[in-house]
Amino acid sequence: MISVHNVSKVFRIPHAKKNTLYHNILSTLTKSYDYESFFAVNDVSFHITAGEFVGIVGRNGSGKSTLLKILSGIYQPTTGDVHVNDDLFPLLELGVGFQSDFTVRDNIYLYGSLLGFSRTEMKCKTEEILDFAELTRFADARLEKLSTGMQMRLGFTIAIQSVAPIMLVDEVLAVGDKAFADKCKLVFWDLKNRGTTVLFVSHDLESVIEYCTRVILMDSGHLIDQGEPNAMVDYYTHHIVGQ
Amino acid sequence: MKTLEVEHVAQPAKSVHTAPRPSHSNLTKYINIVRELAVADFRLKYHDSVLGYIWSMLNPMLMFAIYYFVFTRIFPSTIQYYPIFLLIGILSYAFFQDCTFSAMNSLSAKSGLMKKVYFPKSIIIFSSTSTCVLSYVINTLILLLLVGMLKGFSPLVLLLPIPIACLIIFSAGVAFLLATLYAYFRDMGQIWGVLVLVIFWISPIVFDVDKLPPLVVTAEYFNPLTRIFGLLRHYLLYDYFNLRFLLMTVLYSVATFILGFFVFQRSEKRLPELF
Repeated sequence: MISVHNVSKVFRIPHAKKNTLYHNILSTLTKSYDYESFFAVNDVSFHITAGEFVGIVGRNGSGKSTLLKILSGIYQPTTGDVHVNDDLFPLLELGVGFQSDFTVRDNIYLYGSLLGFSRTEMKCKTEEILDFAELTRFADARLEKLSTGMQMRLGFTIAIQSVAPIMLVDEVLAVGDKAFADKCKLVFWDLKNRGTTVLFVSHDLESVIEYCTRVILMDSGHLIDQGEPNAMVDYYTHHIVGQ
Repeated sequence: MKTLEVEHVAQPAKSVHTAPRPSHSNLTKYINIVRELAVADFRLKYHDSVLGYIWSMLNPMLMFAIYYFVFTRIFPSTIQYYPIFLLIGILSYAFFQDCTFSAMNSLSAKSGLMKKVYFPKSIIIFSSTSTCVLSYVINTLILLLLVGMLKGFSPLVLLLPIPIACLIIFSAGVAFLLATLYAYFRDMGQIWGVLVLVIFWISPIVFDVDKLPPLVVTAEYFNPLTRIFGLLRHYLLYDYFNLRFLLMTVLYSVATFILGFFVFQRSEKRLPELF
């Protein structure tokens, strides 16, 4: 379903700002090409079969999000191969991809089209989405006028409309208040029961244990270990966080 | 670990309230995305109102008024139907300018989106171009109305969609090139701001090429905009048809588009990392 072979991702972080023609000419003239090479993901291999609910656990900067971006095709791996043989939808950093100058409704339509729904199909879904996100009153407001919480709720609600057989979920349970979190939990169980393959990145270790059938442990870009959730979370809390 | 995998493969993927899978091909999906982006951007640009459209026309209209004044009162032009001649040039140039700048702008405005979901990045340029085409079409309809009132049409007006298509294809090609450069060099906007002014004055917008020295005329016809503006004026004003000129213009425009699109596609996969 998903196989990852020896995947590495190197980012070059230049010492000086270098994204204009001016700076490029300047750094060529002064012969300063300094940059740091940084392995965000370092030689990671794993295999996920259909229907698994796999958690990825690690500290901030351990390469979890970069890994999901590589799997979803947003980033290209520097070396290694990724094979994904079914439709996949990433649910990364909720709300970041919204167009803040569009209205709530236009954002729903835009996301719908990204999920592969036509406008007619989305017309029926829109009310349902607005209702779930508790935003019916603000349907025609510009998104930037909404509070962060509202935007997050909308992001989550639209994203779960996806019926892709593989979902990549990055830190989305931190969204909204208790009532909304409960709704989200229902959705997660539904995903699980439907047999959706889920790759789940979270710092909420309780929900990792609750949903996941397997946990992958990452640190500084390396895959440390993978296996049964309780054992992995235990290892993580004692050996990695506790260091 | 192995046993866990087997256990979950065995679970059937069934649910009573499963939403229907979108049943479209990728192309339909991509066209839908282009449409959603273009329509929302268009509404944003004109704030859903006719007044917004008039507002957006202020700049080209002011340019028209200035050049019209200069070239009828100060240096009187001998060109027949000069107001329409000038208007064709200014509106088409305004489209080219609009199209190239908005390609760069929307690439940076949509950078959040492309870091979050995978989709072909050319969609962004196609949608920004479509937004500009929508306003260009409205402008052209108004232009046609004016031509109808001041001069009337010849049957050649039926060929008008060809130079219009050339203008769109050529501008999209340049937009793809600029968007690629913009991803690497964020000061491309300022640089293009100067270049586009140079292009204004080397293209026949306020003047016509036939009064220029022969060598300059030859050079002028390497500029695709000169050819496109020429065709528009041939069909709208001068009732003149030249097949070779038409085919060469189509060739220039398509070649520019292919070049721009190819260059863009080569760096397409790196775009999310550059923003």
